[in-house]
Amino acid sequence: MRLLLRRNAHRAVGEAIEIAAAPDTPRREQWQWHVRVTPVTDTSPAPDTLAVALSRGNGTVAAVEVTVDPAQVLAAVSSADLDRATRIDRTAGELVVFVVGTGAILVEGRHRLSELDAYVLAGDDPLTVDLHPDSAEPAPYATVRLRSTTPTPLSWVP
Amino acid sequence: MFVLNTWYVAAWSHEVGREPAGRVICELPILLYRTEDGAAVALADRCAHRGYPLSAGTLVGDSIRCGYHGFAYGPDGRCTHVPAQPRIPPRTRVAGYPVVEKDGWIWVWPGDAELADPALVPDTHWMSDPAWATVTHTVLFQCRHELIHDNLLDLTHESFLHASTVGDDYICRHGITVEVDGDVVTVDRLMPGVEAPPLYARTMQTEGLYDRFHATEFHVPAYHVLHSGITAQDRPRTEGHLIKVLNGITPVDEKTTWYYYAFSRNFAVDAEWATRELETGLATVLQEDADALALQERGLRSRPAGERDVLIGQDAGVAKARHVLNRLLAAEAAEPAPVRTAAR
Repeated sequence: MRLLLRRNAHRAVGEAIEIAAAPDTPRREQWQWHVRVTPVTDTSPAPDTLAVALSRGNGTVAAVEVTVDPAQVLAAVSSADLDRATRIDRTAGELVVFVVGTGAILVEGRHRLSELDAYVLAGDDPLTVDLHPDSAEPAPYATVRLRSTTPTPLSWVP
Repeated sequence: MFVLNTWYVAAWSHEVGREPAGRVICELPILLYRTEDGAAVALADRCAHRGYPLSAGTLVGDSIRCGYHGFAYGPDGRCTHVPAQPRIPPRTRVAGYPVVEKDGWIWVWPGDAELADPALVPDTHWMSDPAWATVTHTVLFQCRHELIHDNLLDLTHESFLHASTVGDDYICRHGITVEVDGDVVTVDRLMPGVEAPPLYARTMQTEGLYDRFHATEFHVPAYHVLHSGITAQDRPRTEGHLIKVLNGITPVDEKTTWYYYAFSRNFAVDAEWATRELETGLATVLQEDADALALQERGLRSRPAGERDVLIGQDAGVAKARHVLNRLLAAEAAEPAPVRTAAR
């Protein structure tokens, strides 16, 4: 399953914006994880939170934070600048969220992602997506990878 | 609870003329009629005098005359005549609603008239484009409008509910791409290398394997356009037999919803037999949906408080649309209610 979440679809949470979360419908299932873009501060991230810097279009830097329930989820987060075609691979049990900082990225040849647009991949299809830069300057983006700590594969929980 | 600041389909153009017609949209009784020059008018269907339905009155020129004591109102909702006295009390007016008529549908904005931008009426041009042929239906669903939205956003039900017409057992085995862009939620499913479903195969006169697709584009809260069709394998969608299913979903109240349906096709455009077959087949599809959702409504009304839907990955569009709907409702709840006066 693919979720293409445009910038205007995100939820404001205080000073942060929530890109994706599971469950997506609070109070119905046990909370697992969320990914947010927050202002960079001097304070340490909360426990069970990983963060990476992401350049934004206005010349500022934000933080992409992923917070998980460690009993259920293992997380990794990274950032890069896309200046040439690349491929994102994942396993069927892995859930991937990527967020564009600025510029534009063409995903799977058909979805053009701009600043703060996000793409979520879950389940067993697709396991590979191709990314192509679609702007004059390299496009910074952050990638969050989430895996289950249990034998049950992780999937997006609506 | 309903979102009021949006355009709802209120009627087909042919349903509104020089006889007053009553509708209920989001629990608001609304009178529809045409002026002598053909302009569609929407007013509150309740005389300011004693609350009698104006739709039970008669048209006199461009005015509606109440059938009870003869109060008359112009198309702007202002009272123009009180038979029993020469003076018209200042409060004698009925609310007017913004109207847009386009491609065979009459849209009404039941919310704050100041926000009623005609440019927000969705694209429905396929209904009036001669390159497309259109079959239409109207059904009063005995269910809350949310169930129809869920139904359209999760088309895996076609495999089970519509097996003889537009369903096939492979649908639920194909994944989806869900896009959320502001107030529009799209659920796209590509089904490569499959046979067309029975109703399509007959009317498209196809056999063999094709790439099939359907993408439900929900303009929350009142309109879906389903972009559907089949193409030769690995060919662009634009080359295919294409279908645009336009769905105007208009709540009457919390358990009844009007479903305005138009099925436009770019194949067999001049074939009367195809039109007849689609009219019959699609009526079956709609009735299957109406029957199922009425049963679902009954089921939900007997469900214990606190027991909620169990959503799965295929419900991603359903979940996202519910978020958007709740956001719109919360935004309206936070705003002071508009003071309704006569139309401007």
